[in-house]
Amino acid sequence: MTGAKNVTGTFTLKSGFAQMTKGGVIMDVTNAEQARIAEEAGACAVMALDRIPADIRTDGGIARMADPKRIKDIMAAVSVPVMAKARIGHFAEAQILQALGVDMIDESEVLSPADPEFHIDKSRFTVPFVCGARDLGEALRRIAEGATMIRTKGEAGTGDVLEAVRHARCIRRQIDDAAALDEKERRAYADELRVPYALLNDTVAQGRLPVVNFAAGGIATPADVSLMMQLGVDGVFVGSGIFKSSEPARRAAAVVEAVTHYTDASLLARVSYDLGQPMTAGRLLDFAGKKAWLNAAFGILLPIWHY
Amino acid sequence: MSGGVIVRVGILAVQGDFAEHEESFRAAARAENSEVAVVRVRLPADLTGLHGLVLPGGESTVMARFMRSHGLAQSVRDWMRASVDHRRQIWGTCAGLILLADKVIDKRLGTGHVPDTEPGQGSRHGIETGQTNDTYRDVDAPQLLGCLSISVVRNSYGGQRDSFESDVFISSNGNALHGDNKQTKVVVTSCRGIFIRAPGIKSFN
Repeated sequence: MTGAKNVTGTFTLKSGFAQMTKGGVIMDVTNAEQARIAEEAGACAVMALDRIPADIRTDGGIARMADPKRIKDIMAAVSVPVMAKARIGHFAEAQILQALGVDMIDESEVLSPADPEFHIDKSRFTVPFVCGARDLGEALRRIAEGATMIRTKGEAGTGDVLEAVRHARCIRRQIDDAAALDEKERRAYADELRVPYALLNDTVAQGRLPVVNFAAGGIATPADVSLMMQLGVDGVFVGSGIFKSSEPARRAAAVVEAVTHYTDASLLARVSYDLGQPMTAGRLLDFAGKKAWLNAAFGILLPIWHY
Repeated sequence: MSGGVIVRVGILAVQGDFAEHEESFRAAARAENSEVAVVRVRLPADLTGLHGLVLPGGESTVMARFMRSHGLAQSVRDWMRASVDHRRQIWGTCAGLILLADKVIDKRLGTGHVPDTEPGQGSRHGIETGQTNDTYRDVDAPQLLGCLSISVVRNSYGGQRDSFESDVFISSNGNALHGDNKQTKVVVTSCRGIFIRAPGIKSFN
């Protein structure tokens, strides 16, 4: 009888947690009420935030880990897993989130980065981590640091799916590229990507990233969800897309349907029907537009004033 | 199943680790040199011709919501009811157990308090701090299939930080015990158990 004692925080438990979210939608929420709407709609987990990415973009300033009270309130409101974001490299925020008992930490580029050189050494934590990636090199470097889940970075807070598609395709293509190389070339490719050769080899052998891989950053509609799932991801994060739309509960339910039935176009047509206004970059444009208008106005007015 | 009948096993393919269950059934069939057809179940029509149905792990709220909204919960109940001589089998893993139970209790973390931060008990870098003053709140959740006369507690062991792995021992009287509860009963067999935000059976009703 070996291993009679219970052990926690192992790689199996951390990667297994990510596996349990497969085929699901993880939604950004900023309070208990939104968390309940997300859970009721069928979210497989929620991401607790002070501000959703769209507001971070427009408000500017430094975006940090959410207030622990907010996180605790959300944890008390739902029974699905609760995740929270730490700044890139900010291992102290991650330690606090782990102490709070969140189920997963997102080391996220959506917040302001805290370390110009290093990401968090995630292998030293018992809580699992998800990290963003734009290409295979980034994805495998984060996995080498201990991330047990990867998501595309995309372009959070815009409702524009373009970058998420670019990143998912890039990772896919680079795995295919690596598969076509002989050992010597593949070693050189691992050096080029700055990743361990064994990890690259494992990825090629599996024909996919060796951990759960979600899409994130700009996903706003059931059709966007279907697009990303058909590009081969295991599930999706929907951030600003839900609670910046005109009918959050209905849209949330629709994206959940879409992630399960992503190949069923007639069902997707039904769940997309009359869904109200999607999250748009409207606020972003408004903001930029106003700023441009003000600058222009000042440009004209100031000389007059001086005159 | 005998007489060369291909066993048809359906796996609820809504969310979670259904692909892993599928692969395990295929591997078991190869090992036993028997023919097993594994099919994904998403809609009521997918139940046609099945000998068994597996409800895999994942988020039970997601699966339950899906099964209700597509009429699948009622179809599964009807499918079980039409079973002759218990020939139709249904198996739940983790979240699947919750779907089968006739009473479900939610256990929720968090009270809005900050965690215990007694001096001298701080964490080392990246190491779990241990206990906090979380309290659990029991909430009756709606049951889905009600096939098993048991009360199941969701998140019975707590959140992800309380997830654990341990050897599981099956004793001669059929009880399954995990590592911390080891007793001196005769162990028939053992396996490695992975408990990720796992449910627990509170009572037989």
